[in-house]
Amino acid sequence: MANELEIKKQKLDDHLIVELYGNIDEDSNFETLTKLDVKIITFDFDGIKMINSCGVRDWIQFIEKIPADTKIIYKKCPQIVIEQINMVHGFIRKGAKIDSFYAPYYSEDKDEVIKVLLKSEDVKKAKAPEIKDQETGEVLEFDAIEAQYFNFLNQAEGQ
Amino acid sequence: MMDDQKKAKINIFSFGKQNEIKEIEKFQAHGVGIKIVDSFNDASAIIISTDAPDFDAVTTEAIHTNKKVYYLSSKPDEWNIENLLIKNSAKNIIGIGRNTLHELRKCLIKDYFNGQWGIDKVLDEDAMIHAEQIVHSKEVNATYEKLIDEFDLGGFFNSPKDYLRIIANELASNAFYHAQANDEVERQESIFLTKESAIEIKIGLDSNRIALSVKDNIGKLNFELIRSSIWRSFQEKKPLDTQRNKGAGLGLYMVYNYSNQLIFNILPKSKTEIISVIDLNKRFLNYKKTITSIHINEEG
Repeated sequence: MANELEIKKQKLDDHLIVELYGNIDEDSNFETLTKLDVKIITFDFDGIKMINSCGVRDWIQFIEKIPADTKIIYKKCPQIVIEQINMVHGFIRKGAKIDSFYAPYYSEDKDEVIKVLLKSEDVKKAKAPEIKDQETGEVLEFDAIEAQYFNFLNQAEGQ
Repeated sequence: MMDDQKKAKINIFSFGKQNEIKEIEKFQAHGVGIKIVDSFNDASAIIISTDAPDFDAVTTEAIHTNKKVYYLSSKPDEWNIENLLIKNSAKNIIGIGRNTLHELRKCLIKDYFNGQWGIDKVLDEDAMIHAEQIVHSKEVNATYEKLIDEFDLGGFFNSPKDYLRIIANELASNAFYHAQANDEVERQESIFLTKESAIEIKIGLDSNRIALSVKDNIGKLNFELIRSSIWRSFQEKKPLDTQRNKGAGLGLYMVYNYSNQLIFNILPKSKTEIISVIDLNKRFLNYKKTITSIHINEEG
């Protein structure tokens, strides 16, 4: 099937780094990520193309099976994943950390929306950090509704 | 058809702002016969703005006429779902924005002259439309990817493809799942349909919007299912507590959230067509700020 979920794992001592590619949907299988004796799991979502409603439900059921004392970190969440997290509760398990995510910024000079990778700690009180175009120095305008887009940070640990 | 539209008059009672009424009167110039009338009794269609004074009282009175009511809403989606779709059983909610009058005019033409069915009814005459039939559920993703790639989406913010993918996936997957007589069929299973019962996906692009439709030959959806599904998801914001082989109950909610306009055409036990429209926008912010319109047309 096109865009079937591909899971790449790398274990560094008690830290498992998981890179996800393709679609998260009803055909996704997270079995290889269960029953792993690690203290930290980092999920890198950079390669995720699409996540549908069954994918969201299955993801929630999957992370509920991860032992409670395992630290979960989400990294490089694409805009589409952030949208789903904001729309459906439970995608981020309580206590999990969002390390980084993409956010839309608008360049008036280029008349286009640029997806910028932000660190969670850069967002203070649901305000988008100032971002400049690396080539032109233009100050880009955050291109979503801040209270809505950054709502997911309230679900994550201490953010 | 254009001449018929000019000759035949739709008697409209419009309860809202004077400037809106004046704009509606201009539909005549676009080939839609309109006559603004002063009472519910003389009207064939009633248009109510959510900003109108005495909105609740007028709405109650309008509903009792059993005439077609179009709501022009400036309220957020959550308000529209709770107060219009649920409490007032509204079937035509038009979000106020830059495309309000275009949408209302298209609705009137569909409802009183041209009929509901077809993606072309929501698009302008310059639209380019591509279509594909699918008989195998595992071909859904490849099919919509192929269709999306037919279009130059340069006029849009840079991620409409992401949302079109989800909309197409949710609608087509649901269509395949519900095509089965047996609800015990697992969601992950390959489902094959006959050529006659194939699922049809269409994508059309005109100068101002992109529309995606999914049509089945089943007709299992109805007004109650649509509004209860969207309402439950809005309230609970979580999937149904179902096993992996079932649906998550979030599909329509997601499609609603990612659409600027969502249209359901239903002939019960026969066919369903769901059309999602995204307005042309270079700004993602404008896409998210747009109040979602919803139209539910049940025939028969």
